[in-house]
Amino acid sequence: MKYRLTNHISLWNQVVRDNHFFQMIHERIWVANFIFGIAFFAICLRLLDLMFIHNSSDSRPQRRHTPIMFNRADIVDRNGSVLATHLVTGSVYVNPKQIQHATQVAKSLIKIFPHLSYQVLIKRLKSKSNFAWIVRHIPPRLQQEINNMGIPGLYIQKDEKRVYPYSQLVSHAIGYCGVDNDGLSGIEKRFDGRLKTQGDPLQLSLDIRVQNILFDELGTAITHFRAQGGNAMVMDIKTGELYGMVSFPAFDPNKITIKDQPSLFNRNTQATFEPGSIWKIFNSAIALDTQLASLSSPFDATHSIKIGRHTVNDFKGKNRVLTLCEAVVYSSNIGSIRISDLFGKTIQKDYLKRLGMFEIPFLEIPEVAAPQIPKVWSEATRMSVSYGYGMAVTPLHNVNAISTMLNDGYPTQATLLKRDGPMPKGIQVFKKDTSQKIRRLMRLVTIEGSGKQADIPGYNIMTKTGTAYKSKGKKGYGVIKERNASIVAAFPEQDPRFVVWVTLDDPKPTDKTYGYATAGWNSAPTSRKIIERIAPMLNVEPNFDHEKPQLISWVQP
Amino acid sequence: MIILIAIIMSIGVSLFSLKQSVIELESNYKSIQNEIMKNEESLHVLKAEWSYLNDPRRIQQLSEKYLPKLHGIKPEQIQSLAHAKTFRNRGLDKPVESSLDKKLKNKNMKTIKPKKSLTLDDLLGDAP
Repeated sequence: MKYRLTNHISLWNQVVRDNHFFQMIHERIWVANFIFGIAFFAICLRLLDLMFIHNSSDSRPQRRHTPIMFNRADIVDRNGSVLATHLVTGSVYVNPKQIQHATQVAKSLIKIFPHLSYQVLIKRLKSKSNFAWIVRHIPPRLQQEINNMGIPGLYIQKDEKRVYPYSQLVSHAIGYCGVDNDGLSGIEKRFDGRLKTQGDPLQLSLDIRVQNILFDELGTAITHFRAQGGNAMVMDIKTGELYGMVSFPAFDPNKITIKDQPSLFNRNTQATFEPGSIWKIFNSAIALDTQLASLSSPFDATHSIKIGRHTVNDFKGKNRVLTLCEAVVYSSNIGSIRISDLFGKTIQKDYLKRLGMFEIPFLEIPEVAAPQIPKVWSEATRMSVSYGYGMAVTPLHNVNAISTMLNDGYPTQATLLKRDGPMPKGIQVFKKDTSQKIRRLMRLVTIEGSGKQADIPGYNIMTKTGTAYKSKGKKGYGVIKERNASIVAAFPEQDPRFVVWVTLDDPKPTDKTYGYATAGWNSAPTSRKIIERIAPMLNVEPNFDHEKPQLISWVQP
Repeated sequence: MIILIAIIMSIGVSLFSLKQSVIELESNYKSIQNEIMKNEESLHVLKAEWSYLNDPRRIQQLSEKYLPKLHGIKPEQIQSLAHAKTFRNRGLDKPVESSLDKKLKNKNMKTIKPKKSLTLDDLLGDAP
């Protein structure tokens, strides 16, 4: 041991005295120092960089940031009123495998939720799965009660429920959501993907105030005239924006049940019916646009006309020669057929096609119906179409076409979304001159014709009414005495801005209508009440100085 | 050597404090996030309630109940400024004596002088 130690020391002494060995160690230390130094320096630089140079938060990766967004975006009206939003609720579910005394649990649950059925509860509590819903969307107070019960296996999950603060007011346009917040109809269905992915609210063209007025007045009219239902729309002629769209019966999107199935039907876009006399406007517009007739052209309406088995007569006919102007104002069926004789079926079909009558109109809801077009466009078809029979379209078709006619002949496309820019300009259907003549004609209908009860001095309202018997297939018309009474009203004449459509389904005569149940007696006053209330809201300036058009009467030459 | 140690020490300290502040910020961030969530939820409830209370049907009912004499604006009640000029030319711009003025006169309360009302001339300038 001693020997080895001395040996070791002497060896060490030798090494210590060896300069060469020391030099080698020094060199190695310096190399190591150098490498570490560089590494350290690099770390220092990076630290400085992180702390002082790039220390702003936006250079940090955003991965951790979970955006605060809910499953479904809000829907607002054109003024920002919330039409659809959601509330955070709780939903109770159960893990049946953890439940020990199913009957006891069921009994205590029924105490809190009396509407649940005992049998169903037991079935769910005893099921073989790991999961079963007990009740969806309960308010915080009931959640607390569930928590207080402290039943193992019973859990509350945070949930969201779609709510519609205006309930029935906007039912058909917005549609509704299912229990899992999937859009099942209307805007909710059409924009399901967008509402789920984008957080910002979806703005519609609807105005909740206008919507309320339509709802109120239409509802009153339906009760008053004991109609089966009805619908109404207000559209901006220049942009195509729908300010209101109401269909009766309406439903409450907050609580949809099976009973609501019939009221889901949107009469504005899904109900196809023959519009009746309203189409006499299109008929005369074609004659004027093709320059085959002028406002004063004479048409013989003395005798009735036979189409196949049917005889066409005039309602309260004049039985004399009428000018085109009179034929429209007095709503002569015979006159309309005579007018359509001028241009024939090919031109008629072509114009109607360009007015969009042969296709499904565009609107941002899935519930839009296709028109019912006769298979063969015969001479008989041409005659009946001239006064609004033989072809069934939706009110949306008509509103689009009427707006097109009043909008200097440029096609109007209805929309439920608020437009940012102007409406895309389509191919002109009617000449500007025709549009102006039609305005005059429709104003005359209000002054002299069936639209008298729709007039409001100052707003220069243009109207055309139409009362059409419902068709019962091969049995023909008048078999059931049911009618659709519609009116289209647009205002003001000098610069048409809004068009209002009202249809009452099978209105009955009342004491004040002298036994009449035609549109001039029910839909017309309804449209007046609507316009009276919406016009000041929509900034329409009354004009009492506007010149009244004169009826061009037939004078015996 | 001392400098080196000092640098190492300071870097160590700064690294530690950096980590601490990051942890603190992170927890702050989480709590703020939670708070925003809660606020947003209650905001939703408030929004829904606001819409619900502003239901035009409800307002209409309230107005019919409490403001029975208030009705919609009739077209005759709306006048443009262009029409106002013709009013002035017809001499209709004289200040109208209000019912309050009459009451004041009847009570001989001459101490209170009614302010000169703003006429259409003040608004429109000179007549064309």
